[in-house]
Amino acid sequence: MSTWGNLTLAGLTAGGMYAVFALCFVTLFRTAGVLNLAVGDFAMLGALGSDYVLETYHTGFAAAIAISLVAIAVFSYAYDRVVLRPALEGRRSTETIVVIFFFTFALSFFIEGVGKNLFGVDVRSPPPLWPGPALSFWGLHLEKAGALVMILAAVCGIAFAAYLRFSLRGKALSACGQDTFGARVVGIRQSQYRAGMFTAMAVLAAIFGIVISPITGFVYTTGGTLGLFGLIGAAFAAFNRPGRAVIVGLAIGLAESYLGEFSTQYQDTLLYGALVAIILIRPQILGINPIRAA
Amino acid sequence: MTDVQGAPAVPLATGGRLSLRPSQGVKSLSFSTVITLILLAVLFLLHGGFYDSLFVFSLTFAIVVVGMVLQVGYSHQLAFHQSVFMMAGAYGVAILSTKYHYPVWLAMILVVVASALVGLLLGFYVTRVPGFALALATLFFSVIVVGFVEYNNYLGAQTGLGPVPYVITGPNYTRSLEWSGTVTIVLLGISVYIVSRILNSTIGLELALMAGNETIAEGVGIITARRKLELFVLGSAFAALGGTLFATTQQFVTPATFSQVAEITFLVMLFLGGRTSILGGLIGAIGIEFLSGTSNWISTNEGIIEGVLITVVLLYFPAGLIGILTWIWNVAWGLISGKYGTRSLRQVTRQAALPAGGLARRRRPAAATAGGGELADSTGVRALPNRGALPNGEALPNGEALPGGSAGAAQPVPDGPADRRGGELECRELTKAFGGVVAVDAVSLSISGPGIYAICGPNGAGKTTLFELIAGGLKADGGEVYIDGVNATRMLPHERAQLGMARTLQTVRLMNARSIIDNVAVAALESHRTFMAGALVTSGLEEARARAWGALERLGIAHLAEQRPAQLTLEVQRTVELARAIVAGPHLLLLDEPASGLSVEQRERLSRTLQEVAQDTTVVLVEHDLQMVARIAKQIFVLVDGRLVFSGDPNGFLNSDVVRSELMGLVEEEAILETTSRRGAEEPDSV
Repeated sequence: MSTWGNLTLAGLTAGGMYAVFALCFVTLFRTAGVLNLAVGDFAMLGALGSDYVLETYHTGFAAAIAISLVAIAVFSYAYDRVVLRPALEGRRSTETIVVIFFFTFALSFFIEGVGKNLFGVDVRSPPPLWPGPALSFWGLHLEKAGALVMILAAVCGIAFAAYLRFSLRGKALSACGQDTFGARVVGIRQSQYRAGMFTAMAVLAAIFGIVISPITGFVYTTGGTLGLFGLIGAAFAAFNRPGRAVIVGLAIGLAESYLGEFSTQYQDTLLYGALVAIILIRPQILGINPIRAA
Repeated sequence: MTDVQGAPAVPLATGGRLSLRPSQGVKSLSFSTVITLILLAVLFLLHGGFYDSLFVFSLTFAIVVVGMVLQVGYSHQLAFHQSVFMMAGAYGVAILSTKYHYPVWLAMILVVVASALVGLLLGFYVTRVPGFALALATLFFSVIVVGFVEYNNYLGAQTGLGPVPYVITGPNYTRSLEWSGTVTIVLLGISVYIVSRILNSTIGLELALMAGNETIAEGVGIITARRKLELFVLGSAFAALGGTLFATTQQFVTPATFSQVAEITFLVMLFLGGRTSILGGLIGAIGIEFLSGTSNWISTNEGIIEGVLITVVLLYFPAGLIGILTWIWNVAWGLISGKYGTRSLRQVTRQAALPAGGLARRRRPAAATAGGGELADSTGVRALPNRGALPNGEALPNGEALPGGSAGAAQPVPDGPADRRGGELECRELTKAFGGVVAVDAVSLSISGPGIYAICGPNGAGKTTLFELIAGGLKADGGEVYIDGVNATRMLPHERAQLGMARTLQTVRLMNARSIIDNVAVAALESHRTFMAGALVTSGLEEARARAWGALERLGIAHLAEQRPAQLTLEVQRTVELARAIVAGPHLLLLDEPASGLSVEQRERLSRTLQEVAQDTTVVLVEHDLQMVARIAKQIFVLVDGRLVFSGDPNGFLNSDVVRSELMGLVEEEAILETTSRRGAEEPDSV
């Protein structure tokens, strides 16, 4: 019983990570029509960046986090202005999402390259936000970072879903993602909204990277792998349902955890195999097609 | 047999000059031969050692990327299966040669054929999955397969398999590498020839249309499912070939080589080099592998450099490095010939995105580009003289002669199989619901013979849904569709097109990178039903262009044949779409809101054009302009809330109580608008 219970908790912890990344994908696509494939890399940048600032400049941990988050916010905002804006609104705006997709793909390369040069190739992590031994109850053990992950995933999922569905600004943001031209016609500053959301999602991913780093540890490529599961979670949520994205992310984490009990060697192979089989057998589960939607 | 000028007659499409120009087959052969010779020269100049090994290594990747130019870059079929098939090729040869002692060449042949067959079986299902799902699913193929191989002891687990013998073993390492490298280059040259031949054939034109809009491609009769499958199989075979050569030249295969990183590397090579250019793909593949292998600095900063380069290229040089090289070439050539400064880098990079071998220059008739993108005359329907814009023998974008430059040389639009009797269309109890909303509710109608038939109704009445049910774009929940007496209910759009039906979409969908004549010729190709392999032995492009020329002349826009769609007004673009729809001589022509976005005068020209076309064709149009419909239609059907509420002639339409009660507001409003618009046109100074 405790084995399955612990597997479930481990699965929910991993699933919480995937859920938040899926949430970042969904929120950004729904509001700005952008698939940010570098979202996992921003998490890496948050975790390793704060650790780097802490160790190199000996600031306090809170200051290190603040500095790295501000740097990420400035960088992501500048990226939107310099790259995404001309790509989406300039003469390239008629280009398909296949090409737009490659901009954030290139951003992922760039961030990983910077991470490799700046942080090295060893696994590192900043100090935990909630230090101390794991929580124990009913014979189960849960890392405090894991508890934070689950809380953050649940809070973010509910908050984003409610914001987009019920608030006026959230509805305006959704309108931007659904029909850029229409949004402009009724006076919504789509460009500003997109820049804001792109920055916000990058910072959220970075915060999340700091939260989960005691569990995963980070090397410069870790973010890419985590982001892939987020992409699948978002795809299964049709890129427009934040609540479903969280549920799918959690389900993927649980499946991964349970499969690990059967075979640690083929854990990922089996998980990816199952996900690919679902996509191929029932492609309509993905809902909209972002390639055509653009 | 002589033509009007007394010269020996030649096929019409050649304009009398084609025999003096090399055919596309010869061009592709020359291109691939030059590439092969250059690469061979580099191989022997490097003469063994590390650089030679690295060069040969990069060539194996180049074969995979050449396949991707066709599949991903040109045809926009985003599938990430290449690294898996490259791995299959490499491991296949390694297993057969090291464990079963097959001769390497035999192992290579067996593995490539087997990979193509596996690609066929896999692709048969996978390519039917919609675009994004296919991309996402195949993105994880390599994770699954590499994850399996890494823990499989028979396949050598993480240490891999080897040593694999060279395909030709020489007296020493250098000779073995050079000879195996020579085989690699020859096979790369053959791959280049195949892809070049396909891109510059009728199939290439079909793929360009498919890449832009599959609905239109199916509407003109292209079997898109077959083309996708063929692309998948070809991509698999090229990747497997690259894998076999990788194994035989590098001698060891490990799973890490073929991880997801390899797939990403292929994409980087493709996009950096130039995704629609073979030469660009080669430059991307060889350049990136060679540079990252020879420079420690580049290797260390690979991610940053690739990230910045991809961003800059996508943003400013959409044709990739080949576009930049083309610009440099043109500037250099311009300086030599004293014509520098006539074209910008942006123009050149855009043009370089076309599928030709890469640095080929194109001629454009000056008079044709001066046409201004307007209709030839006020009616737009009379076949006008050529106005001297396209003299006999002028070059088309692919370097061929224009069809029929001399008097009366244009080939008429074929009558089609219906011998000018129009077509027959019958809908029986046609029904379609979306969730709880019944968009089309048991609609029955019958149309027969040439003339214009209109489907009208307010917004949301179900007109476009009915149109799509007839065209095959939507599957009916109930009822039947008969085209010329044949039950077409379960037929796919391309099968309906083969029955003699053609269609347009509400929004204009033209290939902006192609000339007007190619935009029309694509619907007149004979290759729609042939396999891609047929493109290697026959072309048929000239015949299709001749028919396209005839259609353009019929609609009065032949003088714009050489222009690109983006240079033309909406009216002309819609006329081009109409030419594309009639070029194959359909009996049944479906037009979805053809007057949308046109002015009153343009609508009048369109009306005359449609009336001319309808003399031998059954034209069914969905249209909001009730005045226009009442003027030109032979029979009008009115839909309200998915149900057919009226069917009759224009007089009945205007006097019908049902129509008046449902549409009168619209009729009055449109009449007022038209009157206002006319007054405005007559009194330009009045405000």
